[in-house]
Amino acid sequence: MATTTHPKVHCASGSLTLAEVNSNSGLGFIIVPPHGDRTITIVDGWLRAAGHNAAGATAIIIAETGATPTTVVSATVGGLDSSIIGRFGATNITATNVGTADTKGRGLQLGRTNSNVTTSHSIDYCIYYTVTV
Amino acid sequence: MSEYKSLRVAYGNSDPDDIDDGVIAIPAAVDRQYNVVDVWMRATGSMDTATSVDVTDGTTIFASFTDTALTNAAVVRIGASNTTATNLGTEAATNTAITVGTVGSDIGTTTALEWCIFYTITSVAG
Repeated sequence: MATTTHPKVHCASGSLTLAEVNSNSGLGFIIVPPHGDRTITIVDGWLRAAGHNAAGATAIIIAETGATPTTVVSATVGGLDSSIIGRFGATNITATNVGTADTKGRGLQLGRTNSNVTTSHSIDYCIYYTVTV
Repeated sequence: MSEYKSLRVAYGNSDPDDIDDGVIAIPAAVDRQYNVVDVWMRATGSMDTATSVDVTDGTTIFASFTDTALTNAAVVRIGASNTTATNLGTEAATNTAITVGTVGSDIGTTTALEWCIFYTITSVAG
């Protein structure tokens, strides 16, 4: 496969409160808004729990927005210790769909699975992604 | 002095036969010089016969992943054990493509190899 373009890398970074992560019935908070004719592909990134080790939930996930979203990254709370950078693909941070194009027209959201995230003060994130039209 | 260039990315999920032949990850461009600044790879299956998979411009090896490093389904970042990043951040030759290819024997039982290369581009006088 030959790459014929030079896609720019975009970076979404920030910090979400636990209320934001736990919102929307666990689907979480939209960190990259959807755009009708754009396709997002996550290529790398990291997560970090701030204030205390993450607990409560099964995992913190980064997924598409929209109905029945595909999960791109799933970090078990055991893999998110306080103030430690957890890179995608590291132990307990499954990066199954990193490098795979998301569904066209969808954004990205950061949420949790099963129970609410507890004990951490916030979840920091840094996500590298490309956008194609 | 720091430079502030746009970061680009090349990603592929290649058949092992293509890796054995050498995949053009970033095509050559006239009066352009690439600088590979970061790389990760992920094998599906085991890389049990090749010596390594290298990211190179044909002269300079920017990143080298030994078969020992590329275990099934693991994201392996350059700089980790059994990888060599000696020339990461070194400018490639002008007008030269960046390829991903096998060193030594062909890849064995791997069914696919993902590669992700972060790089910058410098314009040089023609």
